[in-house]
Amino acid sequence: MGPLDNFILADDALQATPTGFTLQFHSHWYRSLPLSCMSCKAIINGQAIDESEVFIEANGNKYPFSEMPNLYKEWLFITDGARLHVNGVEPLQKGKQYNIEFKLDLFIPYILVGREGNPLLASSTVTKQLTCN
Amino acid sequence: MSNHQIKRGVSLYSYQEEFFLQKMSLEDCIAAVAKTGATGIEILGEQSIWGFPKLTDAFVDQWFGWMDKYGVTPVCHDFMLDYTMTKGKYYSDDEALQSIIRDLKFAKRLGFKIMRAIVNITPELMEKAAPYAEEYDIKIGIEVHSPWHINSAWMARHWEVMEKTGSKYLGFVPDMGAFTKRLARVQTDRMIREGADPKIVEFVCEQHEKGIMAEYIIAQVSQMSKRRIDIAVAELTRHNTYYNPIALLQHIPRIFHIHAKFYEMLDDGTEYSIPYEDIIQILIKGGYNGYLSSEYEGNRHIQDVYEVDSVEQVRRQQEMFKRLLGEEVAPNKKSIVVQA
Repeated sequence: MGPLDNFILADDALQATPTGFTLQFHSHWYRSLPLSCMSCKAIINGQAIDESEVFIEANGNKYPFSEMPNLYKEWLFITDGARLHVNGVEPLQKGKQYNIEFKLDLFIPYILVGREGNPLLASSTVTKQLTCN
Repeated sequence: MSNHQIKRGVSLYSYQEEFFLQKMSLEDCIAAVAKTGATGIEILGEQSIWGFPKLTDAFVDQWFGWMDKYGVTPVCHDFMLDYTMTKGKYYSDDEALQSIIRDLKFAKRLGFKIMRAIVNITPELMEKAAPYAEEYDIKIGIEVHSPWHINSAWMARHWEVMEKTGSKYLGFVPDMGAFTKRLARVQTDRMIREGADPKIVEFVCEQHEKGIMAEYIIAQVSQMSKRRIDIAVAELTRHNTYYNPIALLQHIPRIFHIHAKFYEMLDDGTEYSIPYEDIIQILIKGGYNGYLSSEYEGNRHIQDVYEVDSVEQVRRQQEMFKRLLGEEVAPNKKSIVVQA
């Protein structure tokens, strides 16, 4: 759910690294949000990734994935991508296709809903065959 | 000689699809506004300005350079209140006020004279913000956004604060989405593509057009179908309300700016859902002298099947405004969007 669902994962989102891979994603909301208002989950060829081996990068800054809920000062502009660095897995092969299922939850901090006044959850799941670069 | 002082503007929100896809830069968006003949620029800082709320001197120079180059004026910055950016932690009133002051400084530096407050701002917070609005010489108008209308209890509470403070810096920014006489066809068409029953869509649209209350429509549709998507069609009526725009008339002196929301400009130069012919007559009659600021929101409903052309949609709406405001109108182009 979001005005820009189609564009979360670009065709060149998946890249091999010596220690695993990176996956770049874009937010699907119409305005920028801090990383603390996002949470995501990636599944590659049916395998969930081990989040303890993941880092998130935005604006050139890299943090342990578990830090995301506290990153209210690290904003992701709508035309910029954030990158998950996934380590501790078999490095991906360049040129090979992988099935990526990516769920991006956005907690909209200015729209409070329901009796508890929780932030609106705008959740999107995309499944894409991506060629590793 | 014109019988009104209404000006035309565009919110860069309208070009969000092309901006996001980097088909248009910020300068391209400003140039597109100027090309329609509109003169007012509206932004959401978090959408249009990289690094918001920080501004560099170089960017500010470039910004005013663009304003001169394209003959346009900064009019309105829409501010948000990010009440809860970390789980379980909410802004105190003071933190919310600090956020407003941050936006006032941002807007001041870029030359905006009006800020739109998000609709869920409390009247108490507006009251606290009033002296700062005066200090920065920027008017703050609460967005009157569907399902609220200008006479809703929530807006009446805001009106009381405006009266109590006597501040000329507090007012309203009505969003024309509160006059959705017909549900947006682009939206119901998309829901049909996603599996909604066309008969239920037809029923809901008819009921909405007759003015039946949303809760009755939802209750009836719940009897007709148990499918989530069908109920969701009925629920559109909750947030796409219609209230007679004549209600604006008594509040004109407090109306600082107008969000001219729209979803689909047709080949005949009219908008499918919102009766701008009636609205503009009322604004002229009331002596409204602010901007009508285009706010295109149809992109999200057609992007699954068509290439979005926000520039053309905004151009068409601006041509409609010219016609309704008695300005010279450019010849219409044929539609490039084919209805499903």
